Amino acid sequence: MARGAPTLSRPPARGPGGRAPSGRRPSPPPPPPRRPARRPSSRPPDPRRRLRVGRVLLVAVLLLCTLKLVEVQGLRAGELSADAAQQRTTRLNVPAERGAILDRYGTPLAFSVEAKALVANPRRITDDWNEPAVRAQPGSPTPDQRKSAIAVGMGRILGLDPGPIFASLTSDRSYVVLAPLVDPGAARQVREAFPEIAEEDRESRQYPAGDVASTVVGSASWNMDRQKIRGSIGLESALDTTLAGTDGFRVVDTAEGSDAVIPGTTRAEQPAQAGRDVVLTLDTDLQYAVEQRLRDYTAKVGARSGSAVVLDAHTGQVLSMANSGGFNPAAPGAAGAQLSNPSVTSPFEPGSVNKLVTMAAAIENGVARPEDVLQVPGSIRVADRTISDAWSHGTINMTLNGVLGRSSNVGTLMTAQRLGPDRFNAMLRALGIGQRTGIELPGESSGSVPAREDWSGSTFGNLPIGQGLSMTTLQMASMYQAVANDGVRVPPRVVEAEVGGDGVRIPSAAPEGVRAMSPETARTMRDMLQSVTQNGTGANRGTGPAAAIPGYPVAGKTGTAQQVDPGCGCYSQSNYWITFAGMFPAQDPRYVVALMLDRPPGGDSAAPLFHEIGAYLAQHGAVPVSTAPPREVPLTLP
Amino acid sequence: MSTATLAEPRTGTSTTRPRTDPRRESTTRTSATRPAAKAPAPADPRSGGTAPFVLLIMVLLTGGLVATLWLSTAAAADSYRLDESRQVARDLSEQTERLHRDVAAAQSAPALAAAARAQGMVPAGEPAVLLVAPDGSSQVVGDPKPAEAAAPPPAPAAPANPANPANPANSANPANPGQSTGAQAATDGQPAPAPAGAAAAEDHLTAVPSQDDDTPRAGR
Repeated sequence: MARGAPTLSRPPARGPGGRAPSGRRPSPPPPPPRRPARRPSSRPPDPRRRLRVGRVLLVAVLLLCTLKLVEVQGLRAGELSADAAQQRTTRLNVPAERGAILDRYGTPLAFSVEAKALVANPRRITDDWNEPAVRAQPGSPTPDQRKSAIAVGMGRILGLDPGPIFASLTSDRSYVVLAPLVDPGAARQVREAFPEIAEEDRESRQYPAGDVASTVVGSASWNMDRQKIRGSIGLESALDTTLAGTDGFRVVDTAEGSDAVIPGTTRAEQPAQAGRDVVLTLDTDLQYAVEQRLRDYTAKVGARSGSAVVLDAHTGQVLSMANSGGFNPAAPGAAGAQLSNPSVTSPFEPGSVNKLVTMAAAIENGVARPEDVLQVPGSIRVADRTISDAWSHGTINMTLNGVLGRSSNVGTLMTAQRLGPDRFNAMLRALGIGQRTGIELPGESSGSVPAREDWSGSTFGNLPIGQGLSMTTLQMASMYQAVANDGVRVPPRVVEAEVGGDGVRIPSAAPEGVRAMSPETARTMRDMLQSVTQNGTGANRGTGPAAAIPGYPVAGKTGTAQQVDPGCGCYSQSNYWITFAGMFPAQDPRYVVALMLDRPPGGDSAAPLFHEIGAYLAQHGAVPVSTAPPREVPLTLP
Repeated sequence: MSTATLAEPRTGTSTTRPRTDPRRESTTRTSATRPAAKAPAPADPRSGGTAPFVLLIMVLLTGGLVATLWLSTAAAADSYRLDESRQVARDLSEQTERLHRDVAAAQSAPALAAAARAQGMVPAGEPAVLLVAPDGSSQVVGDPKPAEAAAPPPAPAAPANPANPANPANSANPANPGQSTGAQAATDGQPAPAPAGAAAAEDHLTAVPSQDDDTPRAGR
C-alpha cells in the first residue's frame, strides 16, 4: 500500500518540478529523469484488475447474503417466526373477579378476595441443599434441617401447625401445596424468608354469614383444572356463569425460561370482564332469625328435619328459605353437613294444608259458601276406602268455616264430591302443584300429582285431604301466596337483580303471575283460613290457635300427613309430615310462611313455630297492628 | 530539455497563479465588505468557519450526552419511587380487602348475635305495642313480658369465617347501660310508643330497643 499510495492519491507535496504530468503521461519518452523511469518498472499489476476482483468478491458475498435472505425471509419465514414467537410470546391469562352474592339490602353473603397458594418442590429443595458446593460450606443445614426450618417459619408467619407442612415438604414429590389460601401479604413474607417457596394466584371465597342461607347460596371453591373458582353447590353453582365473568388475556413477550414480561411488548390485550354481583331477595337478618327458630323448634319436637319458606305476599319474592340442616360454605365437606336445599328439592305429602284447593275451587265455582252448614258424619266412603276425621264424632253440623277450621276430612271430601274431580284438578294446577316454580335454585323438584286420566276411584278420596300427591315447601308457600295476593300466584324468585361491573343494576325479569281464583274468592279464603287460628271454646276452636299473633289476624292451615312406610308400602300410623302454611295480617297480607317438619315423634303441630316466626316478622317488618277483635265465627252448630 | 519541461509547468503555474490571486482578492474583498453584513452565505471554510461549527457540534453532543445521562438517572430514580409507591398501593389495597372482609364478617348476623350474647344480652320476647289514638288515649296491644335470660338460643352452628366476633361488636354496641333501661321499659309494658309495631330493636337478639343497635346496619 505504501508503495501504491503515491499513484492513487496525490503525491506528497513537492517542488513544482516533480509534478505528476510526467508520470501520468509516459508519452514524452525522453530518457530518465530519476523517478518517472523507476515508476513503470515497479508499478503493481493494473489496479483496475484488483478493483474488478474486489467487485466480484463483493458481488459474490452479496449474492450469498441475498440467497440466505431469500431463504430466511421467504422459504423458512413461517417456521422461523413461529419458533421465535414461541420463544418469546406468552399468553397471560387475566383472571376475572368473581361477583359477590348480596342479600336484598346489600349485605354480602359471599364475595371473593385475592389469595395466594404457597407451593414448593420438595425434591428440588433436597437436591439444592445436597449439592457438594453447599455441603462443603461449614454449618449449612441438611435438606431435612432446612425443611424443618421452613415448616416452623411458615407455621409462625401463617399461624398454622408446622407438622403437616413439614410432612408435605419431606414427601418425595415435585409439587406440593403447602398452604392453599394465604393472605397475599403473608405469602410475600414467607417467600422473602424462604426463597424455595413459590406462590400461585388464587381467589378465596368468603362467606361472612357462615352457615346462614348456606343451602341457598351454596359454595364455590378453587378448581385446579380450570385455574378458577367454581361454584359447586346452590346458587354459586346455578349462577356460575353470571358470577364468574369472562377471563381476559394479554399477549406479551417474556424472557425465555421465565415469566418476566419484557416491558412494552404487549401485543394484544383483552381486559377481563368481572363477574356480575347477584342480589338476592333474601333478608339476611330474617334468614338468620328463621333458621334459628326452625332449628330450635325442630330440635325441641325431635323432628328429623324441617324447612321454612317466607315469601313476600305480593311479589312472591323469597325473603327467607331455611332448612334445619346446613353447612359451613368454607368447608362444605365437613361431617354432618347437609348440602342440599330440601325446601325446593324434597317434596312431601302436605296433608290438610291441601284442603285449601277444595275450598277455593268450591267457593270460586259457587259450589259452597263459608256459612253453609254441612251434616258431617264420622266417616265417609270414597270408592273402596273409608276416611274418617282425626277425632271421632257422630254426625255433626259444621259450617264450611268449621270444616276448614277444624280440618274435617269428611267435610272436605263431601265438598270435593260436590265440586267434582275436574274442577278440583284445575284449581290444583292453577295453584302450581305438580309444576316447578322455576326458581333459580338448582335441583328443584316439581313434586308429583297423578295425571288426571290415571286417577282411580280412591284417588279423589286422597288428594283433597293432601295425601297421594307431593309438593315442596316452596310450592306450598306459593300456593298460599296466591290467596294472599288476591288470587294471582306469582311464581317465587330468589334473585332480585344482577349488578354489572359498571354498577348498572339489571333487575331480574318479573315472572308472570297466574290467576288462580278471583279476588273475591281469595278474600273469602283469607277469612275462612282465620277459622283455623280461631281460639274459641270447645267445638269452635280451630286446629291452630297457637299460630295466632296478638294484634295480627292470621290466616293459615295446619296439616298432618301420614308418611309411607317402606316396609309395608302402606301409610304409616306413626310417622308424619307436619305442615303449616299461612299469611298475616289476614286482611292485607304482607308475609306468607310455609313450614314443614319431618317426623316429629309426638306429632306436634307446626303452629307454634309459625307464631314465633310471625311475631319476629311483625316487628322486623314493622307491620301495623290491628285493634279489631279477633274474628270469631261459629265452626260447629248444635 | 529541462527548460522545455520547465516551460510547460511554468505556464501551468502561471495559469494557476492568476487563479490564486483573484481568490485572495476576493477574500480581501469579502472581508472588506463584511461591515455591509452580506457575508455569511458564501462563508469560506478556510476563513475560520469550521471551528465554531465543530465547537457547536461538540457542545451539542456533550449537551445531549449529559441530558441523556441525567434523564436516565432521573428515570431510574423515579422508577424506584414508582416501585415504592406501587408497593404502598398494593399493601393498602390488601389492607382494604382485609378490612372489608373483617367488617363483613363482624357485621354478619351470627357474629352480632354471638357478640350480643357475650355481652349478656338475651333475645327480646314479643313486644307489646302501644297504640295512641288521635284523641291522646292509648291502648296496649299484646302482652308485654320481660326478656328472659334463662334460655339462650343454642349457638349458631358455624360462626362467620375467620372473624373474631368479639371486637367489632364492642364498638357496634356500646350501650351497656341502655340494656337495663331497655329491660325495664319492656317490663313496664311500654317498649315504644310507635303504633307501627316496630317497638323492639331490629335484631331479635337485642334486649334493648336502644338506638345504638342500628349502628352496624345503618343505611337500611
